[in-house]
Amino acid sequence: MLFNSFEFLLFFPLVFIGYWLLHKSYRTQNILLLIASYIFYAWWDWRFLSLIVLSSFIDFVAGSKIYKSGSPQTKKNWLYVSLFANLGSLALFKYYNFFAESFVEMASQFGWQPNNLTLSIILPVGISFYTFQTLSYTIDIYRKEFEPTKDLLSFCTYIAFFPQLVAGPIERAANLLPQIERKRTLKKEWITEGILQISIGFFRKIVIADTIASYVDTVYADIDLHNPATILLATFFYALQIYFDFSGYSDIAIGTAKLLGFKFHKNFNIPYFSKSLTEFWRKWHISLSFWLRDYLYISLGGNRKGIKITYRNLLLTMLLGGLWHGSSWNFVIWGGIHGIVLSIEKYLKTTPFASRMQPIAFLGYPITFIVVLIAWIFFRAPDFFTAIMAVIKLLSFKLETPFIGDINVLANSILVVSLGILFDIYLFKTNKTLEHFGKNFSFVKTALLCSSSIIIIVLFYSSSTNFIYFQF
Amino acid sequence: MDKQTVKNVVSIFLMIIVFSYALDKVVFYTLNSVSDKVFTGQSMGKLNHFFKLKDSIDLVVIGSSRANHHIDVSKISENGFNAGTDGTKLAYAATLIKTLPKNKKQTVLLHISEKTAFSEDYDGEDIISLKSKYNRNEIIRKEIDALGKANKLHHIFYSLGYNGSVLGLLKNRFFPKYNYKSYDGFDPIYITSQQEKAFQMFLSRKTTDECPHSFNINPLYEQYLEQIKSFCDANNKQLILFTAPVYEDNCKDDNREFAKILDQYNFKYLDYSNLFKENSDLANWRDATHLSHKGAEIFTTKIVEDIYLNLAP
Repeated sequence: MLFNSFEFLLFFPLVFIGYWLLHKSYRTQNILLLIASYIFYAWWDWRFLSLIVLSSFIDFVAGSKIYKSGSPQTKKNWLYVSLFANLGSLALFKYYNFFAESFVEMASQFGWQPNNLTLSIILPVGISFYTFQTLSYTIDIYRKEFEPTKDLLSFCTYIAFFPQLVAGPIERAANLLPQIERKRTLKKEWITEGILQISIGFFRKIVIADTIASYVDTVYADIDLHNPATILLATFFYALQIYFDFSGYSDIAIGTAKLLGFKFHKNFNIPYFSKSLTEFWRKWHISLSFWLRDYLYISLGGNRKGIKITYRNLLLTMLLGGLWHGSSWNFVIWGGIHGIVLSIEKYLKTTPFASRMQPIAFLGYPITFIVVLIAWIFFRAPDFFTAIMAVIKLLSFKLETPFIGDINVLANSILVVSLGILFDIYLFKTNKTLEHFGKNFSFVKTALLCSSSIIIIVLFYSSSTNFIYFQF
Repeated sequence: MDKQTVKNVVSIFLMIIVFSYALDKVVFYTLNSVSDKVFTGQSMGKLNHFFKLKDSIDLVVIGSSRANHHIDVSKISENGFNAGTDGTKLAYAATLIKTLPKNKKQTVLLHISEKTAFSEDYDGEDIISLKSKYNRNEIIRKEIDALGKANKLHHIFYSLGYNGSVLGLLKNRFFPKYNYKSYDGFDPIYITSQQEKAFQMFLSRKTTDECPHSFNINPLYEQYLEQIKSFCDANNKQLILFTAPVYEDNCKDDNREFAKILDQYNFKYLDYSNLFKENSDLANWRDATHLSHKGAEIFTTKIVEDIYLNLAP
């Protein structure tokens, strides 16, 4: 089920009412949440529900065994079981065909033509997200940072909790499980905060992101046909599309959870207002970047094993982070660009160059944005050659009139993007976060703002497409 | 949840429902009053213009961009209007025809495409272009409902009819691009060098499409053909169907099959898909299915000849 679907418009109020009617027992509420979450997921394809159930069961057992076992080797073995089960299903469903195709292509370069090795499999929605969530649970227990739950129901609810099931935020067990295992209350300020964050999330997603998507899709469908100015505009729009799409999704998820009495961490914090790529990654898809830092970068040794190993770890983390997004070399290159620039930044910080650059540090904003923009070309282009063609065309620096397409669509795009950017500038200038934007609002003010955003959505929404991050 | 929280939740949700419902009506009626004064612009303005003129004109051209950009209606009639609208197909066109005045003698020149007629996927989605009139015109409302194309929330949020068109509406209300009183609906295309380049690139990459073996007319399309036929027969309308030229249409089987079907229904049908077969001048084209102003001039001259010579009653 999509947040921006008519079904969700009926589904959530029903869950909300039922959930709070059962407020006397949090366990009964958890049963309702689990059933609702499974329905939410099964709406897309019920067959893949078994994967979530299986993954939940394996990690519940593994977590418990790791904790209880006295022997380090047994602990390690159970961790391997968890890693194998989670990464195995991810490898099978998400990466098998990619590596099989790459192998066949490479073999053909040497004159060998192996049979078609690919399998006809669908990528289960949200697999990358819930896999990382379950992994964090067993790894934290292995590292003795967290005690496992004894309640299978709570654990299954944690894994399948519908606001974050298919596209995050990747909530750690340490934050979410304790909330699942205690009585929830609906604080007054959470009502206004949650409602406003959902409204703004919908506005970001179905008004801004979906409106600009049509221009981006048209241009990226045939890069060869378009001039550099058009490609630049489409890439700029894509940078905004993916931000508003995913941050909008996260806003709806966080707001929805808040109305059910749960507090998620924030997932975006105005990332394009960053003076460096390092800062960008502290503000973009925060739950993923912190996951990669804590479970991959640190596991590889982090910056504890010398400068060379640090760069290697950084690069490897970003390459794998890129691959996490999708099974394509373009994502690997995207991760590679980020990894290289992050390493350069790290290196520059150790030299006197960094302090000399202080007076013009503000240039970091446009430079970071340009790097992110170039990397987005690889993220958006359907294949490597299209991405390279786009980059080559951009590097020609020919300034021609960009393709306008439907003038109404473009005018709408510019208007809604401007609204979105102005709102972000307001948050940036006032040092506010969207999570707490509605904290001190009265109910009347909240209702008026929410109603206004409903009318803006009604007037400007674009025919909904899937959330970009669903495919990951 | 204590009583106070329940009260909070209920009150805020009630407020949201009441405020958004009221705000929607304020916005809807405001936009209606703006829209009623808009007669320029491709979507809303042209539609309003059509509704303003439909009872008095004696010839109307209806169809997609291939009607809009191709037929210089002034060369056919002094009292005609080209209501062709980009992106629309038969559902939209048939609905406009059904709004024409009853028993007034009028000629309807309707562009149809064999590709849509034989498409399994055609579901009348183009009727959505009339959504601004959903809560304002009974015929349009019925037609949209019959196809099940109304947004489920349109009964609550009337402003959905103006979705995606507010900026255009305001722009055309306060900064109209032309004087609609001297506009007959024909929008010739003047080619830019960028379009010329894009078309040449398209031709260099063009591959030959395979011609299908069997042709089954889309049931919805057929239903619309029957409906407009009976409406026009019953209401003193001379209905002429035509298909505009295309650049290098390799498959003509579909055109022949389509002509046969239309003949069975006794439609007057003019197929111009091959009109430029012998004329390879690229200056006549903007792209493979749209003529430039130059091509449109040649095409209109031909259609005028045919209407007066062959089809005049």
